[in-house]
Amino acid sequence: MAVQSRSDTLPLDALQRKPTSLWRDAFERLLKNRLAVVGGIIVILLALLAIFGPYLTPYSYRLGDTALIQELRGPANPGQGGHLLGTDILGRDLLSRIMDGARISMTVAIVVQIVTIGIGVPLGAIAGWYGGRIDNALMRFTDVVYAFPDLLFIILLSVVFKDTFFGKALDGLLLVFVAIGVVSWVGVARLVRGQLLSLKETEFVEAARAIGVPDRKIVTRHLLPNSLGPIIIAITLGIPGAILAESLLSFIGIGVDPPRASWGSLIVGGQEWMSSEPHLLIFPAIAIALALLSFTFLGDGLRDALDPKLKGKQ
Amino acid sequence: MTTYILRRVLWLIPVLFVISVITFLLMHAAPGTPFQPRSDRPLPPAILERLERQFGLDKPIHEQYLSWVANFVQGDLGPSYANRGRDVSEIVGDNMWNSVQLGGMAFLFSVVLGIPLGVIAALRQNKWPDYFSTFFSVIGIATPSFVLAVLLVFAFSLTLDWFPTRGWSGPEYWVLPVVALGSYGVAQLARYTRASMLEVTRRDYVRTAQSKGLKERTIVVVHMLRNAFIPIVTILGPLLAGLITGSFVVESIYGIPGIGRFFIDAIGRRDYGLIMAVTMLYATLIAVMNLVVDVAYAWIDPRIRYS
Repeated sequence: MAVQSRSDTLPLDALQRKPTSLWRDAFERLLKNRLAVVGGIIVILLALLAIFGPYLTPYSYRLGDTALIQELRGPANPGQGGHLLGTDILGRDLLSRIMDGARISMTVAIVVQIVTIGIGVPLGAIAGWYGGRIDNALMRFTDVVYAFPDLLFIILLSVVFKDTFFGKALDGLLLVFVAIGVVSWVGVARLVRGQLLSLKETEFVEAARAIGVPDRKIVTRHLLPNSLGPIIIAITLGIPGAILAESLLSFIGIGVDPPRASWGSLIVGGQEWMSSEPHLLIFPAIAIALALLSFTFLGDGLRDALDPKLKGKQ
Repeated sequence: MTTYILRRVLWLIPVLFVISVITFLLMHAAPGTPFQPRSDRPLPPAILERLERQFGLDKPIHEQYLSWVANFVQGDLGPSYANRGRDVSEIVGDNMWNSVQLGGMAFLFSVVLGIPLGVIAALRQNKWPDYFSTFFSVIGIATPSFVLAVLLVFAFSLTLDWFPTRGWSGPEYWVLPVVALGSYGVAQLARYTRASMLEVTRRDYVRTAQSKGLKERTIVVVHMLRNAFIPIVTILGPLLAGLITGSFVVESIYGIPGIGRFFIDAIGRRDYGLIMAVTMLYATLIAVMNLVVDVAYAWIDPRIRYS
C-alpha cells in the first residue's frame, strides 16, 4: 500500500519528461539566448573566414597592386578598383589582409586558451582541494610565474628566440603561442584555487564526503562544475587578452613576421595614416571588435547556460 | 596572521631571486650586447673588447650575475648602457612616479566605475540598467587600449580640442590616458562583479535574509556584497599591477615620461642594468599585490584560514 501510494505521488511531468543530461540542458538554454547565438554564429563565421577566406579572395595578402596605387596616387578607397575594403599604401587588398589576420588571431586565441586551461585548471584544483603542502608547493611555483611581469617575459622570450628555428616556425606564431601561453595559465590556476577554497567549506561537499564520495569525484563532479561560471568568464576574457597580447607584440615589431599581419599589426599600421586614410584603421578595428564582442557574448551565454543553479528558473 | 604575512614577505626573496636568474639568463641569451645590440653595425673589435672589459661584460656569466646581486643588495643598480652618463637608479627614480600615477588613477577609475556598474547590472538583471552596464563593459572589452587611445586623441584633442594631445604636466593631460588605460579594467570589474553578485543572489542566506523581511539595501550591502567580493578581490591586485606595468603603449602614444617607455627601449638596446632594474621593480610590485590579495581574502571570508 505504501509502495503504491509513493508511485502515485511521483510528479507526473517527471515521468513524461525525457531524461536530459546537464550538457544537453545547457545547450538548449544557450539556444534561447539571442546574444549568445549571434555571438556563436559570428565566431563560427570568423572561423570559416579564417579557414577558407584566403582561398576565396582573388587577391593576395602580400602582393600589392602597384599600377593601381600609381594611377590613384595613393591607396584605393573602399570599393575602388574592385577592392571591397580598399587597399593599403602598398596597394595590398585590405579584405584579404584582414582575412589572413583572422587566421592569425583565431589561432592565437584558441591555442593559447587550450594551453591555459590544460595547465591552469588541474593545478588550481589540486592546490585548492588538498591545501597544505601541495598547495604551498604549487602556489610558490605559480608565485614565481605570477610575479614575473608578463609583458616583459613575453618580450624577452620573443627577442631571445626570434632568430632561431623555433622563433621562425609558423611565421613566428609558434613563439607567440608559447610566450603568451606560458604566462597566461596562472590567472586561471589562482581563480580555480580560490573557488575551490571557498566551495570546499560548503554543505554539499561536507555531505558528499560524509557518504564516502572519493576526493577525485568530489572535485570533478561537484567543485569544478560549480566553479565553471568564473572559469568560463576568465577564458572568455582570456581570448581577447591573448589577441591583445599578440597585437602588442606586433606593435613592438616582434609578433608575427611581415608580410603577414595580424589585426593588431594592421591597426598599428592604420594609426599612422588615420587622418588621411581612415579605412586602414577602421576596418581592422571593426574586425577585432567584432571578434572580441562575439567571444564575449558567447561566453556570457555559456555561463548562464552551464550554471546548474539557474535550472528551472528561466 | 602576522606570522603568515611575515613568512610570505620572506618568501619574496627566493621568488625575486629565481626571477632575477631567469631574466639575467634570457637577457644575456638574446643576440647582441649593450655596445653592439645589432650585428649590422659592428664596432671595431678592439673598442668593443675594451668597453666590455671596462664594464665587466667579458667575465663568465655567473661572475657577472654575482656582482650584479652584490651591487643590487647595496642599492646600486649600475650604469645605464643606452643612456650614457646616467645611472639606472636615476632613470627609474625620475620616471617611475609618472607610471605609478597613471596606473593608480586608471585603477581608481576602474574600481569606482566598474564595481557599481556590475552591482547595478546584477540587481536589475535583464532590465535596462543591466543592458546599459553590459553595453559599457562590452565597449571596454572590444576596444584595445591603444585603439581607444588613438580614437580619444582623434575625437577629444584633434576634433573637439578639449584636451591636449601629448604630455603629463597637469590634470587636463591625465584624462585621456587614464580613460584609455582604465576602460578595460572597468569592463572586467563590471563583468566579474555582475557574475559574482548573480552567484550569491541564489544562495540560501540571501533567501533567508529576504524571508526575514530585511530591507533590500541591507541584504545587498551586508549579505551579498561581502560574499560577492571574494572572487573580485583576486583580480584587483593583478589589475593594479597590470595597469602599472602594462601602460607602455599608452605612455608612448601620449608621450608620458613613464618607465614603460624606457623599458621597451632598454630591451631593444640590451641595456642590461635597466632591464634588470625594471623587472625586479615590477616583480616586487606584483608579488606584494598578490600578498595583499591573499590577506584581504582571509579578511573578507572568515572561513578561509591560512596556517
